[in-house]
Amino acid sequence: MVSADSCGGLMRADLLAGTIAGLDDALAAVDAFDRVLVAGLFRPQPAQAAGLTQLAHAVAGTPLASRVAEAAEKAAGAAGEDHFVALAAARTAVLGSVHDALMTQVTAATGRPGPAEIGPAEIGAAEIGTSPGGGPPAANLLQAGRCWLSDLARSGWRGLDHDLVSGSAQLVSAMLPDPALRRLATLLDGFAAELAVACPSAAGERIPARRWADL
Amino acid sequence: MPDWEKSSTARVIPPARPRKLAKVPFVELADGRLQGVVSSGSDIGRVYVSSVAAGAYTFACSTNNNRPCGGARGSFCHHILALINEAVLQYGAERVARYLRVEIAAGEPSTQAIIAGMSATPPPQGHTGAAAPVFSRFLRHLAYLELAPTTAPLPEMQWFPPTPVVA
Repeated sequence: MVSADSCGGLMRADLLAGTIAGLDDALAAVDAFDRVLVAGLFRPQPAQAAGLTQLAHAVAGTPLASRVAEAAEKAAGAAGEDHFVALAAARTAVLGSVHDALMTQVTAATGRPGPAEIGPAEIGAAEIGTSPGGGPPAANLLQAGRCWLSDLARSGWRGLDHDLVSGSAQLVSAMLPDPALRRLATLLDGFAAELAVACPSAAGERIPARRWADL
Repeated sequence: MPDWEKSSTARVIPPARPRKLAKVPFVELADGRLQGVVSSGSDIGRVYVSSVAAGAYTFACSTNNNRPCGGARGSFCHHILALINEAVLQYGAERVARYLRVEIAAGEPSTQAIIAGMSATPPPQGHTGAAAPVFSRFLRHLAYLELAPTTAPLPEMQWFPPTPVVA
């Protein structure tokens, strides 16, 4: 296939059809962790412990290994915020590796420059939570946000109730007026609205497990 | 896991449909109720806070100062009827009927069918205790309009697109 641009380069469609080593394993680890969040970490069942272990194994060869392994172990009832942060970091790292692998494949197939050559400065996530004047981030609000998210992780999507979900309302109201926090506040606000529509969730109802774990 | 459960872009809340806000400035399906704020037909400075509970159809209507609505005695007042009508416009009849757990006897769900379904047995009248939280939720929505505008990009909104996504 000849690409439409003037370079006239050939697209190697055959490369797109190839399988990527470890891709299915990586996504399986994410799915396992997402299933853990459906029931919550307050009283984890053996299946959930296995899901946590699967995520920990997925990052076993990385600098995250020891912290995630500890978090997966402690998550049985006694998990603190740091443990949840470690698990979230592991999930993000695994999905990041999936992204990179897919981009490498697309780059090889199209011959176009990948995002790494465009420059990581385009990704502005590091700026979130810092004031425009360069002042300190609103640490207490970010802390309250992590606290609410930790409560969600404990209760699980099946254990949601109106009180838990509406616990974010004050936080969102405090964050939205600050332009530096508006991006995070938007995510929390939209996420809480989805949870409010879904709860109390009946046992048979389907759960958007990947999406809510992402959020 | 089925595809929907494995999709980051799974649609959880269908987009709200456009409607005029003069008569019923606020309506929502939340806290196990259809609830909202209805403008008074006679006094421009007065609003009513109206609600109907899912399942039992317990209804309540009062002003935001907690004065009871004269029409809401024994059956739905016209504020509650207007609320149901606007909820159907915003959410669609099917979703309103499902949330309130109304049995639709025959045919397509519609405003009339929903009201008929709830009125088959006289719905019980509830107390107006919910008026304060409903009104504060209305004020919270109004507060969005008071946020300082900024031109900075807000890519997080892509998580919540206003139009239907292709699954």
